[in-house]
Amino acid sequence: MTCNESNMLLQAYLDNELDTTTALAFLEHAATCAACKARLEDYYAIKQAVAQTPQYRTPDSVRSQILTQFRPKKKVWRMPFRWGVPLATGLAFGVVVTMMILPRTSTDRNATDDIVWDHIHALKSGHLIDVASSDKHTVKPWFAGKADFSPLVIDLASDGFPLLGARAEYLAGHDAAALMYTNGKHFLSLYEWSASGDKSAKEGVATIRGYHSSSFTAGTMQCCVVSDASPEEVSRFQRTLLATIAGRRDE
Amino acid sequence: MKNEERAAFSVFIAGHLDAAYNLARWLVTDQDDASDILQDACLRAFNGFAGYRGENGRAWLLTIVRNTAYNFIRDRSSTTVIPLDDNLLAEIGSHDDNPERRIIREADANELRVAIEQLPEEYREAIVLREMEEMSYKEISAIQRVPIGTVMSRLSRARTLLRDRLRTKEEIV
Repeated sequence: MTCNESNMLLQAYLDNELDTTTALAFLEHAATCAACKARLEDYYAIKQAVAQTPQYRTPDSVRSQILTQFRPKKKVWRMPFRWGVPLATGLAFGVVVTMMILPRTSTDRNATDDIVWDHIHALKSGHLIDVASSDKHTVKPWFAGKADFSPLVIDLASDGFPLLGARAEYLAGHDAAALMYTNGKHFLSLYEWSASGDKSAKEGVATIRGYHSSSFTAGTMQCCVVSDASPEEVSRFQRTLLATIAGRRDE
Repeated sequence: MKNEERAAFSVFIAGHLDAAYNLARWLVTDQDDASDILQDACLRAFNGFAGYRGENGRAWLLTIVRNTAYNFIRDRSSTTVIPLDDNLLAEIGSHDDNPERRIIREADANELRVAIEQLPEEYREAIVLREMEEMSYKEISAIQRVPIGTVMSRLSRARTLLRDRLRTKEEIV
């Protein structure tokens, strides 16, 4: 390798973008050429220094403002009036909504706590599933007699979430199905229970003990997915699941 | 947007907020401006989220952030924006490497920060995406909408400029 070639490969080498053979050839040259070795060290020092520059964190006020702005709404409350209605009505309405939402939010949190704890407990005990199958025709009938509803069982293997199996749970006063999925090295538990027993649909996300959870409804099911995978993957799981369900209905 | 999607978006955005803010903050170099851009970009992302089914969510969000930031920068500067000429800066970057002149490893963090802020925007962006967001050439190329070769030369010139700035400082001391 010439110095010219080595120079051209320098950045790609530093950024781990070379294949092994080329990287080795690059290093071999640098080992014997003082100028190229010095240049490599120079740029390596720069790279290290920049990488260690502290990153900016979102100011807390901005963070909470944004997270509040996009928090899922309780679906019942949609403004039933337009601009012309007096402001006073709106204000009174706002107070009522606040009073009704506040206690409910805290209840949600407790239910989610239980679910996250159940997921953690399953991982700790190693008792992840009672029925091991990725086949919905095996898993779905298995719940007959074990739960007071028939859960939605959907394999999302083609989207990177293969179904391992399921177990039956009893959580927060009702039967629940816990479907276990994997995503790389992470496990995702999808909890489902019949929404008909609950007066309010629960929506929202939470992070508890480092586990991310998201609650949502799918048809007549109340669902909650819990995982230590990234929030993005949890979100993708939810979207993929809902999209798959929606796709089925259209057929 | 449906509530399910809203819930999914709130998980998504919470996970990437700092990466988005960091990029905006480096691009516009001001806390208040970066906060405005972040909020604007989040709203855009929210509106586009239902239609988005891609794999790399972080790259998708950062693309929105940088586009918002560049729009802001263009609106902010009353002066004409001079388009970046990679060849012009190549001249600045090409010079002999004297192994005697060593860069100090413990470059003062503040000086480095200022040096990064003084880089041309596209170079600064490439460096931030590469070193702080740890993105691959391919991802940066998709975000900046330039070929991979251009990403590499931007990184190379950015690093050369940083090295030279810090060296100059060292010599003055």
